[in-house]
Order: sequence, then structure tokens, then C-alpha cells
Amino acid sequence: MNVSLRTIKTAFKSALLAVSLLYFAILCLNEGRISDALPFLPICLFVSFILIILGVGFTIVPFYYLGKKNPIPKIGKKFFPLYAILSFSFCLIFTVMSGFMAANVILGIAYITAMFAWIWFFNLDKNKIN
Amino acid sequence: MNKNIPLIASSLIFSLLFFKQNIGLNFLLFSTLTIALLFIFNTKQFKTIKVLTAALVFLATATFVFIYNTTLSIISSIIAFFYLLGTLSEVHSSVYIQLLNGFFSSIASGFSMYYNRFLEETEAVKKKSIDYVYWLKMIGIPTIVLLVFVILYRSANPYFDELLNKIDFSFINFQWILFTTLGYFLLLNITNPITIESATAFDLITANNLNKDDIKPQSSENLGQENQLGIILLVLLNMLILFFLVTDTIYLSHLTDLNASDLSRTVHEGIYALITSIVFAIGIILYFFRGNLNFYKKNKNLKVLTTLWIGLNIVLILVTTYKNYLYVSFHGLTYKRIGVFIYLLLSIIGLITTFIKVYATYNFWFLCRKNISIGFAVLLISTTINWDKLITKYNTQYAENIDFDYLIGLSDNNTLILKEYVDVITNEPPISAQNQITHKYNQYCKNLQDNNWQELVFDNLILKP
Repeated sequence: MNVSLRTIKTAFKSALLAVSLLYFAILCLNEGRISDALPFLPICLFVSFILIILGVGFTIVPFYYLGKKNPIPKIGKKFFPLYAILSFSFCLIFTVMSGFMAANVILGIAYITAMFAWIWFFNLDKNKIN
Repeated sequence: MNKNIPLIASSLIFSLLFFKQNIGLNFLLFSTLTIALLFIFNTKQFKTIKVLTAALVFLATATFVFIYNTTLSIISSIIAFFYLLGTLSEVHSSVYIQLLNGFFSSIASGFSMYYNRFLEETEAVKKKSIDYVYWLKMIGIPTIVLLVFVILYRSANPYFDELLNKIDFSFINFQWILFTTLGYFLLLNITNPITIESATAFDLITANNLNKDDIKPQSSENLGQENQLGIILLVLLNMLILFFLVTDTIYLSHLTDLNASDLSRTVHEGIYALITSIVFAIGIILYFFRGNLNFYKKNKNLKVLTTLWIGLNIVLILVTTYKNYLYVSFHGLTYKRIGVFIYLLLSIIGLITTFIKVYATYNFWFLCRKNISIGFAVLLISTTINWDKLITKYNTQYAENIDFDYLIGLSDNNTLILKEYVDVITNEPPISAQNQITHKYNQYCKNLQDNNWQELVFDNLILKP
């Protein structure tokens, strides 16, 4: 599987995850009804997909090229600690800087999505085999 | 034992202790709970002295959070917690790797385990490993039976019915669930301490000594030239620093004549210049003693000049310490001025470890290990001091000019001592400052009274209503 396809597939899965987490969070924090936010879902999914494609492209793909000589799952395992530490620090710094409640939830979701995006990106072939 | 049961119970306790609460007794209780959990899941590792020490250090810092409740004590306690986790994950690694491993475990151990499982297991095995019927039986049947009996007992006994009606589950909302999930995630992470494999493996195989065989060979001509360059550079640098020290000492005698703003500017500019010069000094020494020059037979002069330069840098630090001391004796202590003293202390330690590195032929990793360990120890020691109280006590007793606005703006740790000062020496602080201190004291007493049991601090025991 080439990098572009891998990026798109990862971004789609991650966008679904991020939007469902965000939808659930907004719904519960605002005590609204499930149907209230439904019309906004497609556009939210589209925006998330674009943002995550950029995120994966700029933060995960460079690691793929950095360790290209190794098998793909090994690259993932090797650089995962660095990626996790950087992602967490980035989210934490922005949470502290923004200083409002919603930022905690949004950046928390961003961190979880980033971690899963990494796992999916480096394991897509594995899924296919299974 | 099923791991999830203690983890779920602990995450409920986590919510009980921290949900919508300020930091206080809850931090100490949670630290004890964490150590207990770590002991349950890592009993074998807890038999080593290093792990036990790390656990004690963490518990001690958590106790200081209860006593002083300052940001510094909380940060130190979190760092001590990373140290404990890192020690559990790999007991023999260096302190900086342990801190890194502890941090990594706290934020991503769960994801890492999931990722590894993803790598190792096939989907078929995974499906087999989750027995849904078993879990349905284990959770569903007891719940249904319990509900039936509750309904029966409620109709049988009006007191029981009344009691059940009084139970208030209104605290369970989305935020509470989110918070508890966060607690579960944190506890899941910390009960499985993991390592950053590449960094830990590199650290374990890297000794402190510089090995001649590991260094790329260099021709004797090149080495001679590098040695010469080092000697010329260090002679010039030594002369320059010597000249600077002479002028600085002359300037020092006029320091007492300066007004407050000039003195402040002089001290601050001196510190900034010192920071840069110390970093450059260590950098230059590390550059020359990075490899073959350590084993060069004619390096004696270079070593002597390096020692002299380190010595003169230490003198420079002492002169700056004196300037800072003068500044403090005029205008009192502040956090920034204490920070300067601590920085100067760490600089001296840094220079001494660099000297040891040069003479004992150690490598760069020796410097990292020693300096980070010492920095960590200094941080832990600084947690044991009530800085606000110390600043207030010093300034009210020794400083020539007291900045009451600064003292009032400090945390509540100095409230009692300020109140005592105002009560004893009634004529000294201006009336407005006295009013502000009384207001601060009353507000603090009210806050202490309003504290829940989770938020209790040491002062709650002193100021009993």
C-alpha cells in the first residue's frame, strides 16, 4: 500500500473516531438531544478529515520516511515513544495556553486521535493480512 | 486476580478524591493508593532498595504537598512520581532515562500495550480472547438478581425504602464519567511501567568512561594542532576572565553607592552574562575533551589551563553571588533572587563535574547523568522548604526596604507569619498594608474552614475553628 492511500485510510478512520468522540462530548457537556447536532455531522466529518490528513501528513509520514529501511510495523514501534511524548507535550502546552474548559476536551480528543492514527497508519497491512 | 477490578475501584476513588476538589489531603491519599497499586502489580520490583527509595521519595514529596500546598511541591511530586515509575520499569538505568520512561509510561503505556498487542496477535486470537458470554454472566446476572432483591426489600421495609431514596446519584454526570475514565486511563498506564526501548538499551550499554577504542582515530599531527589551538584559546580566555574579574572586583566596591534601579540592572545583567559564559565555558571544554585529546600524551598544559579556567569561572560565580547577596540585603528576598542563588549553586556543581570529567576521562553521558541527578536532588530538597515563609521572615527581619505588596501577593503559606508581624509590630507596616494583611488572614481562615475533607491542608490542623 502506498503512502497516500495509507494516509487517506488512516485519516478517514481517525476522523470517524474524532468526530464520534467530539459529538458525544459536545452533546453531553451541553445536555442536548442526540438529534440536535445530527445535521452538522457530515460537515464536521469533512473538516476533521481534512485536518487529520494534514496532521497525519505533517506529523506521521515524516517518521515513515525517516525509518524507511525497516519493516513498517517496526518503524511504528521505534518512533512511537517520541511521537507520543511530542503529541502529549504539544496538547498540554496548548491546553495551558488556551485556559478554557473546552480546550481540555478538544486537545484530549486530539491526543487520543493522534495515538490511534499512529497505530492504524503503521498497522494497515497487518489488518489486511488478518 | 483480574486487573480491572482494582483499577475500576481505584478510578472511583480517584474521582472521589479529585473531582471538583482543590489539591490537599487528596494528593497524599492518592499517592498512597498509587504506591499500593504499584506494589500489587509489581511486587517483584519492590524488593529492590532503589525502588523502595523512589517510593519513599514520592511519598515524602506528596506529604509536602499536604503541608505547603505550593506549585513547586506539586511539580516536584509529579516528577518524583515519574522517577518512581521509571525506576520500576528499569531499575538500572540513569535518572534522566528513568524520568523519561516514567513520563512515557504515564501518558502512553496503555496505547503502547495496545499497539504491541496489535503487532503480535492475529485478529482471530483477539476475538477468541474476549469471552463476551462470560462477562455478560458475571455482570448481568448479579445486577438483575440484586435489583429484584432491592425492589422486594424496599416494599418490605419503609425505613430501607426511605434510606435508598436519600442516596443521591446526581454527582454522576458526563464530566464525572469523563474524569473517572481519565483516572482509569492514568491508573492503567501507571500499573504497567514500560520503557523507551532504544533510549534505555543505549543507556544501559553506555558506561561513564571514555573508551579509546570507541573513538575514531586521528593523526598525531591533527591532534597536535588541536592541542595547540586549545592552549592558545584557553590562555586568551583565562587572561580575559582575569581582567574581567579585576575590573568587576573594583566595581564591586562602588556597588553600595548605587541606587536601587542601577543595582538591580547591574545584578541582572551580570547574571545574564554569567549564564551565557558558563554555558560557553562548558561547551568549549566539552569540545576539546570530546575524544582523542583526552588520551594525547602532551595534553598536560591544556588540562592545567582548563582547570584554571574552571577555577576562574567559579570565582566569577562567587563574585556574582556576592552581588546578589548585596541586592538581597538591601531589597529583601524574592523568588527570582532565590532562583539566582540556586542557579549559581548549580553552575558551580556543573563546573566541578566538568573538571571531574576532564581529569577522570569520562564521557559526555557522565556529565548528563551526574548533573541531572544533582538537579533532581536540588529540586527535591527545595520542596522541603517553605519558601514563602522564609521570604517573609527574612524580609521582615533583615531587609532594609520591605515590599509589603510583594509579600501580600505571595501564597497563603506566609499568612500566619504576616499576621503575627502585624499584631506584634503595629506601627511599622503602612495602614493599607495592615488592612490587606488582615483581609488576607480572614480570607485564608474562611478558605480553611470551607475546605472539604479532600482539600484539607496542614494549616487546617493548626487553625482549628
